Amino acid sequence: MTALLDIKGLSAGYGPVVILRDISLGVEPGSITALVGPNGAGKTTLMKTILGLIRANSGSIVYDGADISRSPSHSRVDGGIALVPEGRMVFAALTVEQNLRLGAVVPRAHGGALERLEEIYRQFPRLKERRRQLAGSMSGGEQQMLAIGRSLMAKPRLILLDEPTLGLAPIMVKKVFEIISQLRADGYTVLLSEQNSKLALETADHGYIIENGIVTLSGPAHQLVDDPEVKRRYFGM
Amino acid sequence: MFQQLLFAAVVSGALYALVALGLNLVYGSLRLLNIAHGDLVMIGAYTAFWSFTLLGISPVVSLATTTVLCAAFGFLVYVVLLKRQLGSPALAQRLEANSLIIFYGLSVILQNGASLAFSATSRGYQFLDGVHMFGGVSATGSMLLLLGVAAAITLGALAFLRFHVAGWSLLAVIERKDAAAVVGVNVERVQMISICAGFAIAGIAGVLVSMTQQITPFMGFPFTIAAFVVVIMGGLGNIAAGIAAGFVLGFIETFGVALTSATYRSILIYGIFVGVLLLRPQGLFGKAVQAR
Ligand SMILES: Nc1ncnc2c1ncn2[C@@H]1O[C@H](COP(=O)(O)OP(=O)(O)O)[C@@H](O)[C@H]1O
Ligand SMILES: [Mg+2]
Repeated sequence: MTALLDIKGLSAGYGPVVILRDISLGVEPGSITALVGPNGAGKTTLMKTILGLIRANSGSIVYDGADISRSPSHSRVDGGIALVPEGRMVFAALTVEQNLRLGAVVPRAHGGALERLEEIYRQFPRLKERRRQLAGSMSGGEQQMLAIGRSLMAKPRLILLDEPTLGLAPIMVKKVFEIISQLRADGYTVLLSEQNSKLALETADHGYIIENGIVTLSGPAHQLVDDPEVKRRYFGM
Repeated sequence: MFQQLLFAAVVSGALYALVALGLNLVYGSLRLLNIAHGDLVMIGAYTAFWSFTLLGISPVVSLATTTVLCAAFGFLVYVVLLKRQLGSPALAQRLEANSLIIFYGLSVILQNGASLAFSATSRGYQFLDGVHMFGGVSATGSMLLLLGVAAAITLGALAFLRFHVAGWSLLAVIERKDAAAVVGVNVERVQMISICAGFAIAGIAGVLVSMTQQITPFMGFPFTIAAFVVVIMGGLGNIAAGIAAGFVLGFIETFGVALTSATYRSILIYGIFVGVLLLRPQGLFGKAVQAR
């Protein structure tokens, strides 16, 4: 199968500071790929580079057969890549419903946006209850639901989830992982970054371990979960 | 007497709200303080004046020509002075500081250019100056036109921000540029349109002012100051609160001057400015957006 997202030799960073070095990574369509590694490893930087919020210094990002590494963020979103950013980044000054509908701002998402809105309300009844409230007034877990719902409004094929469980209560963490599995069942392709390595690798099909801006290990997720070295270093076992 | 003052307050409040709306659009979406904002009011005023006196064109038509003219000027400023620098994070950092100098330079050029071209003489013309009476209030047609246009634009802006997805895109860019880019908002385009709209609104305000007051090449500065006061009162980048604050300033100014004397006008305005900065730097109503 050809990968939906195929990154080769990617390096990127902030201005003169290089963070990611020679990253290569593939995401198969319909799969969950986990990107795990400690705080500061470069997971968020990689997510931002995939969406074009940061420009790649070198290397290629091939999505759906075309190199998108030079295109602006809005055309990547319009191509079907949606990011659920670290820290959720919902718009506090907009209502829940405005946040969701703004998620469909790109042309590809115009058609059927209201149907998708209803579908998201069915899936997340909490968002429907709160649809006229300002997003800033919601709890962290609710904001995470909103950020995921907002990404779905863009009618994506590839969903990038950047540390979606950060700062959430254990019960919400479980819920978020259920949602992620459901996304795969619904036919979406998911790239998931997590510090919660064990849960992420248990949920994912494929895994990449990233440290100090380089991929140190990769393979089928179930193999990584059982790898004694991984267990020792990342799960603290 | 009271109704007359009230009417005067509403008219000047509407004008302040309009001028400040333009400034706030540019600040909100680009985080740049346009010190030349009032000078665009002056450009609009002269456009209306010359169109009327030389060509006999009604200021109502000048509203449209000024919109196009000032929007085009905004586009030029965006493309020539700002676009490249906003595009790179390193240059954008410096632009925030440099923008004061860029816009100050623009202001000096516009003021002195106008005074060279048109001389510093104050000018005016008569348009819709017949007085209408209703309910103890006497109002000229030009004041009513000013009020109508200013109200239409400010209310239109509020409705746009509330009901249209493009309005939410603008609010998103104002709140967090990077998050707006995440959802696929074309941030550069929003910024470009904002600067065009901000400049156009200033020009429109100038046309309205020219119908009711004498104009000079240096009339812009007090408008810049008033707009700053209003925008600070409302909270920087907070568009809706800025519109409300415009009316607040109109009321404070009109009633303040009526209770004291016209010599206190500037003291009043600067006093409010300093007072708000000291006591409620986040604005009277909501909160200011984060500088970044
Ligand atoms: N805006 C920034 N400017 C400069 N360095 C940054 C910036 N954001 C993150 N970094 C640095 O990049 C490295 C990777 O960070 P990040 O991608 O956020 O890691 P992770 O998401 O894996 O925790 C860290 O060393 C961090 O300090
Ligand atoms: Mg991170």
